Amino acid sequence: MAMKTSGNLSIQTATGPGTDGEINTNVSGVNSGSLVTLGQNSVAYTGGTAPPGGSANTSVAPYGMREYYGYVEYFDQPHNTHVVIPRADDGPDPSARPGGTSITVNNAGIYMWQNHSYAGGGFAARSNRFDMRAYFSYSFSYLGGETYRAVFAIRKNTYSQASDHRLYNTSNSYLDLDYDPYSNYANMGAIISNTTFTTTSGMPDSLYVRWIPLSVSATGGISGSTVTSTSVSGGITPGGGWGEAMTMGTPTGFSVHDHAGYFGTNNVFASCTFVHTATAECNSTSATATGWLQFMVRKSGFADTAICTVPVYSFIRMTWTGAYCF
Amino acid sequence: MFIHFGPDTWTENRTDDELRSIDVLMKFWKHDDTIPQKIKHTHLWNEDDPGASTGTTAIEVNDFSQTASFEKTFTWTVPENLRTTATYHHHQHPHDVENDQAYFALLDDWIDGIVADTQYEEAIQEARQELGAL
Repeated sequence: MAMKTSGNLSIQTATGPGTDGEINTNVSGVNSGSLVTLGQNSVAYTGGTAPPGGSANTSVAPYGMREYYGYVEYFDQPHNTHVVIPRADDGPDPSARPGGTSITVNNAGIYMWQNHSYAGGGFAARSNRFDMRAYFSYSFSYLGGETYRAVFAIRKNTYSQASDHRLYNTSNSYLDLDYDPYSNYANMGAIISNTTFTTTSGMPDSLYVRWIPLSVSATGGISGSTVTSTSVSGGITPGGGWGEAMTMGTPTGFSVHDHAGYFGTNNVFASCTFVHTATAECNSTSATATGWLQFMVRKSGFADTAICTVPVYSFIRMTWTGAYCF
Repeated sequence: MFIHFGPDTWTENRTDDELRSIDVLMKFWKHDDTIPQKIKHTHLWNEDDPGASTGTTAIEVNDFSQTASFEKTFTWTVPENLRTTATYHHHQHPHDVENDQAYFALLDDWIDGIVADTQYEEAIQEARQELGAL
């Protein structure tokens, strides 16, 4: 939400101006009563009132309070989640961590599970997987209007060995994700607009997905339990692997009126696969991976903005039944 | 944060050879790429005869025997219905198949009991503070 465009502003005080007039409330990543500190953490907004002797730019000196008239931190375009997940956060602040420091089967939004028995003495591995993709879509209605969407979606990966791939929805029931090459992608969040994508000012510069690990554990095995990504496509370079934050996509060819027909087309520009693998040799193992998937929008002049932050719980049990080991 | 525990690193306390409690050693690393590695030689199996090896191959695996960035030990009491005189093989050969089957028939239940113990979650929260991991 944008800050007020006239009237009183405050630096930190909660009384008087209201939250749309409090600069500290509207600048993310810092908690300060210093206008200098707030300015240095702001997103270089230039739409406010310039201070005497300076230009209107919140992030450079001289720092003035009225530079924050109309300040917007996030690229918080109207968006929806077709599968609204109560165990997720669909606010714009990427510091949101639904589930806190303990993600379990009872608070995860994405849940995968398998229990596998094996015999013999060789190296054994099992994996839980799902695909993610981001795409731009356009649709036209004879009843009036054009609709543009930038969409994040997930589905079961065809090579996944999990028994369950669940996406919990509003009523605390769940969708079973399935693999289908043409459909069954569940919408995790979509910026949707009837007009703004017709100009570059309304379009995101890029979309990306972060994996934010909470914990990965294993009770046996030799490699244990790992989370990786595979099959990244769309001119994308995964940044830093999955250990900290994995960048799925910087789309190219994301252009104004990027549509081929009147009845809609999906233009996939980025995809990757979440892979949780457990390994063992002559041993049983219970392997768990927990963390958050965060679907992000980047737009010049705004702080990186979250569309959906969802806790993930993936469990693999491999039970060794002995024999064939020498 | 990476967490490891299990029969490779825990201590089993027995009375008259029967398992009564386990000193669970939990090992924590902030990131999985900081876990020490080792080379492991593992068998390649004859697909037509799964009991026959056709040789070995070397793979790089995590070495959980090394000291972790943070470690925590707690004692878990084995319920009466989950006690056994069977022992862990510790990867010594030849295997006693009957013993292995008796031991691994109970291992999953022990793991479930340990994870459900409040000491398990307390150790994780303590490690998270020590390592500065989210």
